[in-house]
Amino acid sequence: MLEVVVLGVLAVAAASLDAVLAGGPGPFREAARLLVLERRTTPQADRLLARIGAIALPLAAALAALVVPFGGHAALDTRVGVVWFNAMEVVGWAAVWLVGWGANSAFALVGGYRFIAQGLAYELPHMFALITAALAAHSLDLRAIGAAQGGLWFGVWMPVAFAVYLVSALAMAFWGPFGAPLGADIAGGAALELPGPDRLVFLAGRYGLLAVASAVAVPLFLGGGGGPVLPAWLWSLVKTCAVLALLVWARRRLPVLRMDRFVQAAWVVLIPAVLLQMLVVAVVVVD
Amino acid sequence: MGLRERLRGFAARSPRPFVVSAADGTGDRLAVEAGLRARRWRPAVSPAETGVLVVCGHPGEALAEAIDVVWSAMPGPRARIRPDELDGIEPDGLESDGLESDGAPRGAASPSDDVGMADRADDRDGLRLDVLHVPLGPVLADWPAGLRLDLALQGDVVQSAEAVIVDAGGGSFWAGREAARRLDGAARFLRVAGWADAARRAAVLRDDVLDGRPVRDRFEALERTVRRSRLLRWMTRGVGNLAPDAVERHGVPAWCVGDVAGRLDGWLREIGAALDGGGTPGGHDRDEALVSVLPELVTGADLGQARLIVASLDPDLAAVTARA
Repeated sequence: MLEVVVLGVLAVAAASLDAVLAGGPGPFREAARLLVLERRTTPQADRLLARIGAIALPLAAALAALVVPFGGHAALDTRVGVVWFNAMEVVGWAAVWLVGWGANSAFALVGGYRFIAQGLAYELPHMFALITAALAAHSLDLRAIGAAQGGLWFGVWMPVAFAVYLVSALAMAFWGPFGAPLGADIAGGAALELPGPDRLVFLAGRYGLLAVASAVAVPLFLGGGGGPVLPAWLWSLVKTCAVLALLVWARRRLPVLRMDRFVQAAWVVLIPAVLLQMLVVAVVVVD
Repeated sequence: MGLRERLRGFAARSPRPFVVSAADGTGDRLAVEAGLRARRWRPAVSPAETGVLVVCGHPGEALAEAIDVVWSAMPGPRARIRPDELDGIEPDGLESDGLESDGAPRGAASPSDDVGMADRADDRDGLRLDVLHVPLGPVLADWPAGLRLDLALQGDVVQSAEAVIVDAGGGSFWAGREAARRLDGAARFLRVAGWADAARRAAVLRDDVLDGRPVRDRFEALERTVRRSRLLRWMTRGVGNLAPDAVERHGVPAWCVGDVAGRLDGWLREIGAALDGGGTPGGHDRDEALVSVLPELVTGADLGQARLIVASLDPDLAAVTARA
């Protein structure tokens, strides 16, 4: 279970880095502020649904963290880690939708819509990127995929799949350029009406998802725990921190993407590109 | 001293105020934004996520009413302050039972977030969908002070719109400050576009221009960053396209013709020219005309596009004569 705890700590570190980059108060102060905020709800809100959604997000992140390997060891001993990670990530869709729907508020509802459209855009390219790495390693086990990159990292010889994975990591955590579901233009979107403590839980879940998505990039594309001198678990940690820092940094550096334009690019450009990548990988692997 | 009081004391040192401005509140708003930056506080994007409300300027009756509705629905511990009171925020004495009271709604919902009654109509694809009547503004972050757009939405697509001037008059803060006005417009536009970093740089430049500090080099760097952003161009090209005949029909200034991307480009050019001390564009903006083109421009757009369109026209209602 140590791996899950480490990812939790990384999520807090990501929130701290984000606060520094934004020039705002740190995550603990913000958490205290949200905790003492009075509960209030909109008329006829479905509080149960909204609360289920808020809790589902960190739960999904924690469950996904079970299969993330540091070095060669993951909390849960399973041979289908890639599938498990993918399934937990999709739980996030339900979480955001329930939160947006449950508030009985127009902007929150629009935030929910936006995330569903975003899912339609990123999920297929994302799954093909996962499958490409799994195909090359002949395994759905994240530990085996990490160990299969002795000579050359998958990220190096399948750059399209790696790039698509990084894009989809931002999208699944509705982060930065994919932050429209919680957009400032709709006053905070899906999270608009969440009472303070629920908001804290929900946003913590988002950082958790971001940390897990960063950590999964390491066995998939960055050679897992491979590297000189340092022990394997430490290499995993160092690489995870690097990916996580990159994703956090990207948040404020790019404008937000609207799905009315991005969906088209995702289907016309990203899906064919990653399929082509998979074809190349398949040919190389079969040889 | 219990845990709750300690938490509250710890949190109170960095509140997250929601800032709302009356038409004549621009000067106050700039002071508040600078004050927040200096204290390393961040503004809230909605009144629902905070208990601290800052009211800039002097709201007229209609706007004051809208602000009261929002205020009554904000979660405690609450404080409603003037722009010069950032250091003396005293939350109301919300008792601990208030913290535990589980969600009985206090007061009405804010006008911007109540779904209200839904009816049904055919959408653009001939599907029968719910129609929601949703006001945009007047209490909304990065929104022209005093403006309200009454929208009929299907999903997040605007089916029809009506522009209402809720608060106006007081005289424009920007007279003779063209560069700062456009930098302020650009900062709010970039925030609406979700580009926090560029927005922050534009806001800092705006404050420096007003203080008479040299900004030419930093502005050129920002201009390069914004112009080179393919993502921003991709998201703004072809959005909110205003046909040339609108100049005659509505009396809007010529710079408004074209799409959102074009208008932002125009602003950047205008700021550059104004900083060089030359060619301040003639006449003022006929801000009332800017409001009158909004309904037809946002109809058919989605909510995100509608926000960009409004931000790219940025009417200053302080320059509009107040009506009875």
